[in-house]
Amino acid sequence: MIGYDSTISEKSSPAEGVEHIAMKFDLDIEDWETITRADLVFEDLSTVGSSYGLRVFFNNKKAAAGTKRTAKNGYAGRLTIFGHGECLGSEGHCSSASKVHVPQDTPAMPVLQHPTAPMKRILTVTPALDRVMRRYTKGLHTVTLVTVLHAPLRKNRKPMSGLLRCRRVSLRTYS
Amino acid sequence: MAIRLSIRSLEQNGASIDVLRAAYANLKSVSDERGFDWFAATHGAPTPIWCPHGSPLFLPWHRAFLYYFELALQTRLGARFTQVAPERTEFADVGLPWWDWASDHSHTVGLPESYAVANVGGQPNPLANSEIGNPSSPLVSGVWSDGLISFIRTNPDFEGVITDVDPPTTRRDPDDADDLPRQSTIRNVLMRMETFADFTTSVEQIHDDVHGWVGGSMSSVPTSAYDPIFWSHHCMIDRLWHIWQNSSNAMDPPPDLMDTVLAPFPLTVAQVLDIDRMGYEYAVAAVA
Repeated sequence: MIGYDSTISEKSSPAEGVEHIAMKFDLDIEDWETITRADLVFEDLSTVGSSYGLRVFFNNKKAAAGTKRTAKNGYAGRLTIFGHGECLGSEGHCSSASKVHVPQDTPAMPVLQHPTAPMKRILTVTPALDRVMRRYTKGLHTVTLVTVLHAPLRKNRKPMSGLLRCRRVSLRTYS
Repeated sequence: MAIRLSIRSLEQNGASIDVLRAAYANLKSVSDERGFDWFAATHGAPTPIWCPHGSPLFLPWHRAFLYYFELALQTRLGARFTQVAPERTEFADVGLPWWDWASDHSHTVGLPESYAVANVGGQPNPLANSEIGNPSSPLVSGVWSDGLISFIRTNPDFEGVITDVDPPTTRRDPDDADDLPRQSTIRNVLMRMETFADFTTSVEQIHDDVHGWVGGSMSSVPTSAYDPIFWSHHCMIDRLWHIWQNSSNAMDPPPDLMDTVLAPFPLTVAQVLDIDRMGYEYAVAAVA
């Protein structure tokens, strides 16, 4: 059951690959203890372009690519977005509005979704949010997203802005 | 009935891993639609890219994909996705092994030793990498043209995806072993996800993490299936779905998807829900 759904109110980008999202979430500890699961949900996330890693920190505006992924630093979890890379096909091939080509001898008509259609991603952050609720009197106020280009070779990986493209980020809790 | 065992289990039985290596080598020598190159190309480049990601078809499509790949490994795949008597009886019972990247062993060694070692018995290890655009393969060399290979080599997005030799081969650049997904993450997905939508989204996320962890060819959709570890990675993903299907949380995909054909394969979503009917099963180990 969805208990709460908190969405973005404002965001800022203080450094390359770093984005702060103001996301207000607070509960009395008694109410919080009824929560069994908390998810950060990324909706309509684009996979066109490079693969990248996304690291999430709570209530830590100093978080950056070099920040250690520890509870003390507010680390909440990470995602890898498996990118389709730059389009290798003809014009329109990687447009999610284009149709998937079907050979004429395929026995039935498929209704496959285009491979580059925007997707949803879920990051379960229950332990990290639990630490926030017990540590801060005013609960969660900032979600910091750090995006790192996931180049095929590790030597080429670096923080980069503009990689994360999604319509909505929300925090959903379940009791 | 193919029994899919863990790579670790095969490694502890040298004869089994030798048969798997030989089956991969044989598959790579087939230059038509029953060969390794055709399957790798079907997942990614050359175009079109068939595999659905970020969709409820992610798990069903890849199950069909692995099913036909396994038939091809067994030399049981005939024309137009038919099943025939095995051409090579020594490969008839080969099962795709699953790579348990969440195990304590994987968190120590990273990539399985049997897939990491470059040579075995003085010969190139067919599990270590694959050629892309092999001139001896008319199917692949035609579409992996020099122009496409050149484009990949000169595009910054793809730097490091393939090697600089001709013909190019797949490559890897793995992260630290302990950065692989953890058992607690798997447990959370298997025990907490109560809808098919949540389960497939979460397990695909873990899948993405491992692609990124391996790096190189595996980090990019167009080239990933050319890396032999791709197949055992996806076998692990399929196994997790099977385990969840047998849990109390299990739900089928949405009813309106059941008749969707998992093109280019002639199977619908409904037809891949029961692996027993498909003729394979999962085990940690098996003895004859």
